[in-house]
Amino acid sequence: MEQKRIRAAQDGNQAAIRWLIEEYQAPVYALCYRMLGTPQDAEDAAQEALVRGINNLDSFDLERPLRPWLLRVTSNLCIDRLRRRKFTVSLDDMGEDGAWEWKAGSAISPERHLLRKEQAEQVRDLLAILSPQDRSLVTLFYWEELSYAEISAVTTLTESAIKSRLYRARRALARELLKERQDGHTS
Amino acid sequence: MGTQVRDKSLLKMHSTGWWELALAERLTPAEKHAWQQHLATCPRCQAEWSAWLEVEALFKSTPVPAPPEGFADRTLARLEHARRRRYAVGLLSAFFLILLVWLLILTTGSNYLRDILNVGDVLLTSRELLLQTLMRVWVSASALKNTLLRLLLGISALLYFSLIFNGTLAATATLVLVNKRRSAVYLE
Ligand SMILES: [Zn+2]
Repeated sequence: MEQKRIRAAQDGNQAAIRWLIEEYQAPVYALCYRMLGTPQDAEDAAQEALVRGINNLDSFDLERPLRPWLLRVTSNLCIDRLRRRKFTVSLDDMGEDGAWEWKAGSAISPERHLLRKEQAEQVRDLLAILSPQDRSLVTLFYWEELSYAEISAVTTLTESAIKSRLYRARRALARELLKERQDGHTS
Repeated sequence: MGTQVRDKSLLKMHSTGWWELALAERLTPAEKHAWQQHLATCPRCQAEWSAWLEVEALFKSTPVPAPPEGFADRTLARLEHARRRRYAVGLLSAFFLILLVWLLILTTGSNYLRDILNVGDVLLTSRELLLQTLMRVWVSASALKNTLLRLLLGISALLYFSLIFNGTLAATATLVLVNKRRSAVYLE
């Protein structure tokens, strides 16, 4: 059934393409949201990822599941955007208090009082300490709830490489939280 | 002796391998017990471990928002826009390609062209030849699944066909004029 619809989408059938978007928008949007941090960036990237996916549907192997394939397109796109963002710090990146909000890849992390922040902001700030690729891995693991094998299909890393990267990323997150605590107490 | 064993277990529990197992929840019940005991006595591990549990709880209790209202429609619109742009770019590049080829023929191939043009009813023959070639290209293109390519070839063919007709006329006229002028110079 799904294969039939994907094939129809490959042939440019509008109803099938709409179905595909509606079926896969949630996981694609979720990955973008966690990777990029804001609803605006997430919507733009998710749309772009879906457009790219649909325009390159010919290269998709119908024997495989579509979700990991689409998430791969999405993850690559977000990693690309994060790398580019590293070099463009705009006024939009200013936090409410006027301090430079810490973005992916920038070297300095200004003092933050994590405890007082909203939960969602906490998650965003924690993820921001990770490299784009690690952020993708953590998101795929926690929010897309993919298995190691599925993450491997998305990232083309081996399962053991994924395990050890995830381990390091999770430990870094714990240490970051501790550091936040300590900074919060001393300042 | 006792401290040695303790040092050993400390080393083990501070190792990457141990933490990896602990984080992945792959410790055996006995190991889990030993780990709990270690946590109770080691502030460093205790702090990091509880921070870790907190991160995990935070992640698990923070769902990702669903795509906003109208997301699918906006995506479809963007898809359509991207498609139109692809067609436009294809058309434009086809047009410029034809222009380029034509200019190349006019500039570098003029000698060769003159030879052909000297043969009578050159227009008809070239048009027939062109038509044949285009038909052949069309047939092979139809075998391809790519509809965009088909459309592009169709448009190129159309453009080329109309261009070459006017172009050949123009070129013939120019070349004939130039030839006449040249022969006039030689005769003098
Ligand atoms: Zn310890």
